[in-house]
Amino acid sequence: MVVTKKHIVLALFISLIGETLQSQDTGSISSSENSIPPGDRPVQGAAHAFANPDSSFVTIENSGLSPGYGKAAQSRITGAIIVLSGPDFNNGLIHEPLQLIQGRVPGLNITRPGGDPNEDFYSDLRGFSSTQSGSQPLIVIDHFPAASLLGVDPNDIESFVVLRDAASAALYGTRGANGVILITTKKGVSRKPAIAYNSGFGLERLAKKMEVMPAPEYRALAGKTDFGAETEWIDRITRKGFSAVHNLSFSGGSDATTYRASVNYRDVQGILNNSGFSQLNTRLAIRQSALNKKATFGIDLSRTTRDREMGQPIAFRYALGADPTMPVYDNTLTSGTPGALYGGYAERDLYDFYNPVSIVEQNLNDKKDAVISARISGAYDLNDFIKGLSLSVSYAGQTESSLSSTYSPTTAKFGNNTNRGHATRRLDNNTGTLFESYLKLNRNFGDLHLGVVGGYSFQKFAADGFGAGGGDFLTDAFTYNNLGAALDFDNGTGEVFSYAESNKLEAFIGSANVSLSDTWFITASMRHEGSSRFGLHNKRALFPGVSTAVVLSNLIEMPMLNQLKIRAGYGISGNQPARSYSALGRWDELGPTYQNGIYRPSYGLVQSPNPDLGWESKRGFNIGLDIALLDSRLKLSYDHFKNVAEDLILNVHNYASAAYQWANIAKMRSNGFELSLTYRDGGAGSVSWSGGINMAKARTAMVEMSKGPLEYGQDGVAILGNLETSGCGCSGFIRIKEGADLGEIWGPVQAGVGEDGRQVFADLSGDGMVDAYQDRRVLGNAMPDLTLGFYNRLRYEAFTLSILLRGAFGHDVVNNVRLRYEGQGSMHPYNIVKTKYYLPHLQGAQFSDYYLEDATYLKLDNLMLAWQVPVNVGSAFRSLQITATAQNVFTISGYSGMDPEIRYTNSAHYHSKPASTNGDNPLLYGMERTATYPRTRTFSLGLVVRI
Amino acid sequence: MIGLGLTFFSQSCTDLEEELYSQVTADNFFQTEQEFIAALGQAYSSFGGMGNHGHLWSINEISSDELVVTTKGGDWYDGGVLLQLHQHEFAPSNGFFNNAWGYMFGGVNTANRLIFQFEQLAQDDPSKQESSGKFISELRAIRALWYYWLMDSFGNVPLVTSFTVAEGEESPPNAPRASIFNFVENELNAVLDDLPTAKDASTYGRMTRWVALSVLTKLYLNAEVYTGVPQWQKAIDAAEEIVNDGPFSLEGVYRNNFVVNNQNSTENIFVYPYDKVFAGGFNWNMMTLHYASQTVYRLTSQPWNGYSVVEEFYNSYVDPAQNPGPQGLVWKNLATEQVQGTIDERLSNFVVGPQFNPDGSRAVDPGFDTSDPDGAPLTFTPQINEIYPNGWRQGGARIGKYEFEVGGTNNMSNDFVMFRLGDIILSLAEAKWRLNAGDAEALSLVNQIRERAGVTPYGSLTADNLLAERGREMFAEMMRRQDLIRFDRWDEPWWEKTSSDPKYKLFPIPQQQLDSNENLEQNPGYN
Repeated sequence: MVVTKKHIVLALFISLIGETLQSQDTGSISSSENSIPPGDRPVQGAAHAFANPDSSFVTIENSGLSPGYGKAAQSRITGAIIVLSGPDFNNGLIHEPLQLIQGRVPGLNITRPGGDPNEDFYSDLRGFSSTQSGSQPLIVIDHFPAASLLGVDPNDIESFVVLRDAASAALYGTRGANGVILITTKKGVSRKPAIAYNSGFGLERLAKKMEVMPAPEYRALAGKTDFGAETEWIDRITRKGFSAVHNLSFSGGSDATTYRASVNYRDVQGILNNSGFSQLNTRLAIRQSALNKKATFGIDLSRTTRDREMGQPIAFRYALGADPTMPVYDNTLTSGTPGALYGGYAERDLYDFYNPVSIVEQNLNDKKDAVISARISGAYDLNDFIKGLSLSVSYAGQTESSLSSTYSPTTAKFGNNTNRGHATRRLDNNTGTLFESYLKLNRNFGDLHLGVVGGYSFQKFAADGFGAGGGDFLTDAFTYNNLGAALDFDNGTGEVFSYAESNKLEAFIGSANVSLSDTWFITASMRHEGSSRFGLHNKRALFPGVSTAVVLSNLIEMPMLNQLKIRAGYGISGNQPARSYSALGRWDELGPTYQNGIYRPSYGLVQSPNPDLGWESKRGFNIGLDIALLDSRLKLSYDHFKNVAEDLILNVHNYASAAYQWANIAKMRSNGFELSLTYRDGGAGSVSWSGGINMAKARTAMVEMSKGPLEYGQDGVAILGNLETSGCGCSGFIRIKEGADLGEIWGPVQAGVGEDGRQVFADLSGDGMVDAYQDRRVLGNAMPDLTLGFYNRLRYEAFTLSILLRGAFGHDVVNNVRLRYEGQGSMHPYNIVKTKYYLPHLQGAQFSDYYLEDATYLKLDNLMLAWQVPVNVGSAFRSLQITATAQNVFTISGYSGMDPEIRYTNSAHYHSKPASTNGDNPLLYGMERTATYPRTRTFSLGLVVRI
Repeated sequence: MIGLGLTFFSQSCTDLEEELYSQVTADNFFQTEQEFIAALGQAYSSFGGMGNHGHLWSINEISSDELVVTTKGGDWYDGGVLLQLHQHEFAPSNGFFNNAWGYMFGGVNTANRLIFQFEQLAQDDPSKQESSGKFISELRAIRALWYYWLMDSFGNVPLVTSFTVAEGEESPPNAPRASIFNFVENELNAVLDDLPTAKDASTYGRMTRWVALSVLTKLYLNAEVYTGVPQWQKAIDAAEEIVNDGPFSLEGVYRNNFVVNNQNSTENIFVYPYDKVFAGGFNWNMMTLHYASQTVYRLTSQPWNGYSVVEEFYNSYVDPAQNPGPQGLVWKNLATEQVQGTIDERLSNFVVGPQFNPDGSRAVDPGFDTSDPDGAPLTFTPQINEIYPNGWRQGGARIGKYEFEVGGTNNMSNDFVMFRLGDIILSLAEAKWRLNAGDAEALSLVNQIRERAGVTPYGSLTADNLLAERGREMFAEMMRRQDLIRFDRWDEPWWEKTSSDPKYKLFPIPQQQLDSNENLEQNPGYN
């Protein structure tokens, strides 16, 4: 089939997710096996017929695109969309997909405070757009929305497309309001068979250790018991972490069939003793054409298993506070029979004290995750009936399961406290299936191009699981493998549970785009979608979007400018309720009561019904400008947005009712901008440079939090958050206030320390009295004023140096570590954290502005040197590359805690976060917990071989 | 393939009903009588917070002269909230007040909701009118009990009696204490005749006529405090009905009311039946015992070493001048050796002196204070060195009122006593004495209690000896604060507390409630 421009199906509004984009950069040092010299580059997707099973209603057909088409395709974008592929990806030891684009997309902030390999990355796109848990961008992998990121190995990712504006995201309807990240995996190409092998080895070390008082100094404090040892607790629970990655892939194909198969293996050790994971991923993609290439079929299969040692990151908290004069091992410090308790580890009869080494070495916390996904798709060319018409059908499924297991032996104080042993296991399954079918028409009428899509989508999710936990073991031999041996079950004190739930979404999709002379573009789309989670009165919603672009440089002669394009769009995207059954009046078991001589369960209403519960809706307006200069080597892109998110869902209490209900009551307004400037050298000479800088700002204000009698908080104010000070009834530090920016941290102002060692607070109300509640004000904001990504790639001959700097400016973080371990004073039986803020005189500190710190930072996130080893033409090797990478090289920040990273959410879910939870509450921001895994630095060596 | 596509189309155009698996809603609940009783049960599980640290019981006890939670180095400072309570510097922001408020209004709200639901049910299905009516009477009495406690603690609380809130309805303002008093009185009298009178398994832990009369007794006994108008005769009438007509009798042995299996007590009128398996939440063993007591009682969890008994209060049992009775060896002061003192059977209220493991060895506290007189061996000394900052870890007798089960968990199985005949007898005696200081029956009633405790009967009644006897008998049963206020001793100094402002007779309306309800006003003196 001859590929002509006529056959190229143009953008609906995303121009391209191309397997070919990366060929733009001939200096690529990506680990992608597809980044090969242009001359050697095959025509991708040649086996695909006109109708392509890999297309979707949101992506352009990528069949038949030739190298070099990328630039033109990008020019068709009408929304605020970023496309990234191989050369744009971060390098080094990257185990999580989102790490590939961290710092690369203006407006998309991807964070993971600390270096816990088992912690998820959190992504925030353009500020707050929801008040519900899990309000991160929708992840779509190979057209499957709400896909698990664990299901794809970073090495198999071809491209990311990030839909930032509401008009673009409107096609994802009830799940688009937080933006959308589309991930496309690599597919085979028809050319001679290729084999690629990548491997990497890394060494990870602690990059930031908080200063605590050393033993001699601590011992000298009045009132301390000297246990005679000198223990560096952090050192005793950490190590150098070694990691290894191997990726092997085969690809190739004939005219009618293409295939790609890959195996990816990762073994990662965390710096915390006994933490890490090993992962095996396999993926297969086959495309086959039939019926004289009128039909094409595709099969995609992938399977990932990740065996995790979650470890005990909470040990970091106890390591900070553990008495440095205590030995690690000593069985005489606690009550009870000496030697019989705690396996020889030193423990103390003290509230909230656990030997960190014992925590890490004795307690098991394991998790086995598995993700299996499959997709079968077909497309048929109906050109014979109506010119330019095709039909696509696909069916896809994903099963995610995780088995969590813990065991605290009879000799552990932590997680047990009973000397009886305690084991838990829980299994969670999540299954999603997706059926999609749509008709697509693409016609050119002279200079006018028309594309129309109409389709149907049905997606169903089901979750179920069960678990049990119990203690009282005779022996530690079973760990968590023989729950029946726990006497708790015989005594009736074991815990058992199971659950099941499901939800479904049904949508009709329509979209049309018109372009004239490659100069005028307009795209209109809508998704009419229903969700089972909506209340009875509100079952279906309509999400429209329209965007337009004009290439001014085609209309007016502009000196210097290669392109000047203006874009504008308006759309509505939504968020369905985060949990199933949110609209129903739910009853639940509320503990047994005594009835007639026996205990029977009692039941009560735990959630009031709300048949009007609907979707959160975000109306967004985006205006953008793209400029290309210097033979299109220099490009500038600017986007400005204004969003109004309404009908946001919060749980509210009716004054007289014991049960809450979910209701659409809040409204927020956001605005911001994103700017990126990129330079790409032609790359012909022996020296070349490319680089880019991007920056973004997003501010969100809460407009209202009530509707009728329903009100979140009171009088337009809600105080949230829990600090880790003990016993303080005044710990709310997040103020959500109507009319104010989200992100506010609120509290008293510390004026000094009194003679008695207690804090003196400022009398902010000026009434002559200091009231722990009245005398508070806004102390800072947890959201950054600006985020920055700055990358450079310098090539000299066969050597390439690449540098990525990442920064965030103006955000504040509550340093809980200081509050708990620095401000409690010498009276406290815990060790004292000593930062520059340490006040020796202070006793028993409560939260104040003194514990909120500006966490502005700039970090050298990634530094890589690559050597493209020269290979002879015609040798067995197509290419050979050796890389050395350092990640998280240094951080410039005045923040005294573990990691100045933005805290978008309360990320202390180290303990058995069940797979069924919907993520973290976006309103619980701004705090670094004491159990934070410290940040780490990684050095790695990599090898890429292609034959 | 088109056919395939169409097939899917037709199959998938589905309704979007929620499919339920492990959830119940009002639609698939309330089908059987059993399910109704399960719904009623929630009104009782509300009482399950009684034996926890940090709310209603704690604010009443720590603020009295019975109990104290000293700051033990870094332990138990908790932002100073516990010191505030004992020293009468109540701050509206103290979280314990909000916990107590939320706890009691939670009980009110549950009762309101269930009343609403049973009313709806009776409307929809006339055949269920009778049983619904019975449940509603029971719930109204439960709600009155919550309001009695709310009024006693906070005084002027909002009176919320309906489950539904009309559109545009304002959040409720404070009602004067006297009007809450009237509400409790009227409600209880209105339902009194609908409540069961039997004392058997079917009424154990349930609201009966006797429970309602007990509440009325206490309401009238304190009427002068609540409304300014004494109601001694009404208190006598209510108490006499319980004493004369009720199916209760004093236990021969005081302790029997508080043992692990106290469900057979002949004296207890209203309990919350705790159970370590089924109904957890009673954790006094954790709250009061020392870390090292874990081995003494072979507990499955390590205690928290919090609550101690104020020494003077402990001495009111063993001091022969205050409590005449048979003399024998008791622990006093630093418990270095046993000395002569009154042997009162009710000393079972305390855990005091040297502590021994089941094998006879001394329990040991390796973290002992260097200033602790006897060092590492665990000895609860009646004497406490200071309230702050370094109260001895082993200082103070501990609350031994409820028997600690050997091998127990952090959930005790003893049933928590809220009303019992012993208190009603003393209340009856007091009311009679108030009307006639020389009332012979009053004296004989008090002496019934003293004789049961094995101590010498009083020759006459005075305010002092009546209050002291109530103290000894009712220790830790959430009566002391009320008694001290009624006997006008609340403002007086006691250990580590100076004379205090009379405003502290009411707890402050919690700051969080004021912030969340603009129609609420703070109690007098707190602003």
